[in-house]
Amino acid sequence: MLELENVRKHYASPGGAVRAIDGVCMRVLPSEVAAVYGPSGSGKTTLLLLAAGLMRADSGSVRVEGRDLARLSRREVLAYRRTKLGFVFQGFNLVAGMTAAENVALPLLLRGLDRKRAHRCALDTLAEMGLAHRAEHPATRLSGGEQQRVGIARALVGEPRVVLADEPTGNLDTETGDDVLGLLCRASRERGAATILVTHDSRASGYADRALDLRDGKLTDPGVREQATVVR
Amino acid sequence: MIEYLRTLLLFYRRHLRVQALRELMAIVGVAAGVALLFATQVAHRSITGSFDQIARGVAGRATIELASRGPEGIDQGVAGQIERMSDAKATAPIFEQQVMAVGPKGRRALTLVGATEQLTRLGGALSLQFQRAATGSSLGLVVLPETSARALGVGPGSTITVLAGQQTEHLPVAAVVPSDRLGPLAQSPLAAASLPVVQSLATSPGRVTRVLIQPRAGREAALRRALSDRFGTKANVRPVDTEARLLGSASGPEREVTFLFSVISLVTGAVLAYNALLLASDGRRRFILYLIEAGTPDSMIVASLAFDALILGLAGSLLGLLAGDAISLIAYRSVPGYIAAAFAIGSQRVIGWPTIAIALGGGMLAAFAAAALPAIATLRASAAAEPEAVGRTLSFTRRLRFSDELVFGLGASLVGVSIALSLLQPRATVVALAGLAAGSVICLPLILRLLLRLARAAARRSRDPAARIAVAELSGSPARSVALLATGTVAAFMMVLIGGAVADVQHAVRRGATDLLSGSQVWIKPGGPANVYTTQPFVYAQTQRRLQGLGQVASVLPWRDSFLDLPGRRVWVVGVPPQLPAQIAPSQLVDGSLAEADRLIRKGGWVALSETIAREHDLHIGERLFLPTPAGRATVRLAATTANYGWLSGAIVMNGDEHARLWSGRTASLLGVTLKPGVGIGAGRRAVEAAIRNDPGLTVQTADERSSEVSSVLGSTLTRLNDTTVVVLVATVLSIIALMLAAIWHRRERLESLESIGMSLGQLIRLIFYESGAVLLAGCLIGTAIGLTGQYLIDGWLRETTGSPVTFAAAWPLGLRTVGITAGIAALASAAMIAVSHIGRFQPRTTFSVE
Repeated sequence: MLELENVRKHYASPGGAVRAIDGVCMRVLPSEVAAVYGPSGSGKTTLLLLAAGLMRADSGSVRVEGRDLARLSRREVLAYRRTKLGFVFQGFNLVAGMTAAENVALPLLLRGLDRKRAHRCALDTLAEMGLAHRAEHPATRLSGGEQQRVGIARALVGEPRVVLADEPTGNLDTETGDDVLGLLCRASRERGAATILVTHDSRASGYADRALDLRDGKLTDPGVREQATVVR
Repeated sequence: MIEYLRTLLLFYRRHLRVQALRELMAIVGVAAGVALLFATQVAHRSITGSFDQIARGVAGRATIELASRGPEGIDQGVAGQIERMSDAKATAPIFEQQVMAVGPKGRRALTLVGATEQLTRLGGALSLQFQRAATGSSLGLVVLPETSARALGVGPGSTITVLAGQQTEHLPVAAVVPSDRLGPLAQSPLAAASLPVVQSLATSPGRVTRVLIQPRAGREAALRRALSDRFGTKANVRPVDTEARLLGSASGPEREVTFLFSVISLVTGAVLAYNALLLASDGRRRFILYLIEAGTPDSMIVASLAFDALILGLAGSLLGLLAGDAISLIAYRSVPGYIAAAFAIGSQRVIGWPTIAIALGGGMLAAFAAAALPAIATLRASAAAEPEAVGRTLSFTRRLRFSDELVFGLGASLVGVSIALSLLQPRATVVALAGLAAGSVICLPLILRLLLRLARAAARRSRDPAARIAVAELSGSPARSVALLATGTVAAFMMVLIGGAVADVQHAVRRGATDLLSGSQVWIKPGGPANVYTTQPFVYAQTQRRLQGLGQVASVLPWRDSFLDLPGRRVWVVGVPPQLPAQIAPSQLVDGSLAEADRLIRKGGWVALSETIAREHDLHIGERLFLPTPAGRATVRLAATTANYGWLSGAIVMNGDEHARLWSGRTASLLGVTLKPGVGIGAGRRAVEAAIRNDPGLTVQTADERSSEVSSVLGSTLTRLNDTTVVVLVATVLSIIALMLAAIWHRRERLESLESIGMSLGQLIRLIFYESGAVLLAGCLIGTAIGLTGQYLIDGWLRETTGSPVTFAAAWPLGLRTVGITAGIAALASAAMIAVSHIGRFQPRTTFSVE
């Protein structure tokens, strides 16, 4: 479970302090997919950085399975990212020069798994994404939709507890976007991961368990602050 | 048209905004090449230009001169005899004497010109200014230019000490010529005095070294013939600009050496710029795709790329001219010692339009050469991506498809042809080295592929995911990888090539000096370092007697060295004491038997001659040759051929007694003191110094000190060239940092995504180091190998051009030093950049997504 409690993050800028995240409270349960909408500059990416432990909040707490990320050492945060977190990117961010399978195996290698086992797991996950036949293709030569499915496989191969997806359909056409959203939400739920889906894409609410609106660093859905009920 | 240019400018401004760093890097690359080209050109043209200005400033309307063949000069009465010849309009006898002037603030080597009022009749600008300054002054005897007076700390009325040979005179300063009156000649090392003063100083009363002659209109040829008939046996009748031509010949090898390094520097600049443009080619391609989609005509797209190259060339050239100006002021100001020893040259800079035009032309050439390949690649890639939308021009580029193997084949052929060309025809080494550098860079894409194959195999065995990712990233972005590889290659190539060649020449000079000076432990000569060829004569008999009376001294032998003007070149004549068994320095022998040649030279009537001169005149061992000596035309035979003894125009080695007969029996130019067995060099030197303390004009040196002085003066040109490697190193370091910065900035999103999937900070730093450092190091190793090949070729060329016995000693340490410096920079830059990117993470919008 991922919990954000009254989290604030401000940036200094020439025009004065920017309140990227301003007192956000939210809780995402295992197997739950929460879609967060918001215009550019509303603080969506900061929200993901905070949840990934890549940035520390000015105040409030970010807890994963009850552990406050701010209280973890650098090494523990790194271990959290390696073992409990999966990330899906808008621009796929696959390593050029590696095959699809090698890309998917990467988080496992970083975790210290041996190459053969990592490769086997990668092949299994790619098969689940419908990409078994493309496993040994150079990742960056695949189509956009295929690359994003490789990205999803890479995020899920380590059986993460939290999945963070940043505009996963931003670079895809409508049809492919639908496929990717469906695949991501289904696979995350099956693994019991708490998933935050940051997006502009209004179709995401059709796949998510609930939709939240982030504006000027604040979550505007009043219901969210009080309860963690799954809205299907 | 203006609208068209405005559009091109708009495109360029867009590139500048998006890829300012890479544009700047490319400009720095071109600028580095132009700076070195400009600085070396200015340095060389200043040597000949300043000498020409001085010669004209003294001679004025005189077109012929009668010049003595030795420092003792010719009879002054000759001037009157010429004046009375019907074809002569005016004459001016002068005596030129190299002196060391000492004032309260310091000392300065000067050419003291002794003249009469007749000189001003020739109308030379310099002569007139000196005469004007002296007129009305009854304060003293010597007229100095302001720069020299300031350096010595003297003014009108004060006294300077003048050392000439072992003569010492205290002469009052009559006047100082203000710098603004001398213009560009303000730095000239001339001083003027009346003729009798200089004759007395040179202990040659009634003698002159030159008679400047203005012929009557249309009678020049007739007068020259008449002069040759009457005086040609014992003096040289020649055009008044002969000295300038001799200087041109003496500094010829220096010009060729500087030209070679200028060309190499320019190629280096072009390669660095090429690397930068290669990095920017992805961005350019996307932009051109956009232009194609927007319906922009082909001509506009091609013009846009040409315009980019034009701006790059102009900006790089202008920056290079400024930097080159600074380099020529700071590093190249002094005249190479070996030239200053034989010609009266000032340190003024002469910058003409041709020099600027050459530098600008070189910069534009480098910019267009650097831009051509990335531009073709960009056009081809763009045309391939949008085949329907392109016109005929871009369709043509689409068909230009070269495999790495084909490119490698072309590059390897170029390397092979360049090496063969240089070996078969050493004079073509300049072109061959440019071909070697270019060919090697062309070979790099395939070499990179092979290296990556090896690296992939190694990374598979590695447990470090950073290594695997690095290899993958390198394979995925070949343009960046080739650019990094090429940067390392070029840096090491330059370091090894220039540094290695300079070390080899210096070694040859040192070896030659040690050989030449091995006959004695202590040496005595007039003057300071400026008299490096010891051609200033002095009356030595008394000094010799005094020294031979010392308990520490076994023998004191007079050496008689001088310059002799042969047609088209000024040669150094080394008069070796016949008492010495070794007449020829062994390291200098090129052809002939050393023992036999030594025996023949000792016997007399035989000489050893530089191989370059012997070849020029098709002379073989045993054949006769004629020398135009002060005593007349002397016939001698060739005993052996030698290298040039450190004087680039060539040398003649002869028996010292024979030299005395052909020049003058009264003087020596150098005394070699052999100490008795058991006497330490320090003690011997102190005893000698004490014995001649009343001769402040004489300098005492141990063999080691003299050897160091000779090496440093003779090697000054190449040492100066060695400084150019610093500029290349600075440009390379900037290039490496900029390349790495660009590589990280360009992929910051991907690097941060790797961190978010679990890469640690250490792994990220290692990733960057593997990606850039390892490739740079591989490039350095390749560059070292090519540099060593180049060093071998350039050594052959230097042997041919300078006549020095240069031997190849592989400059591995320089290559390793470059590898070390590069590794250090890459490691530091990797850590610093990752740290900075972490500290600077305050714009999350750009971190993960493109909104």
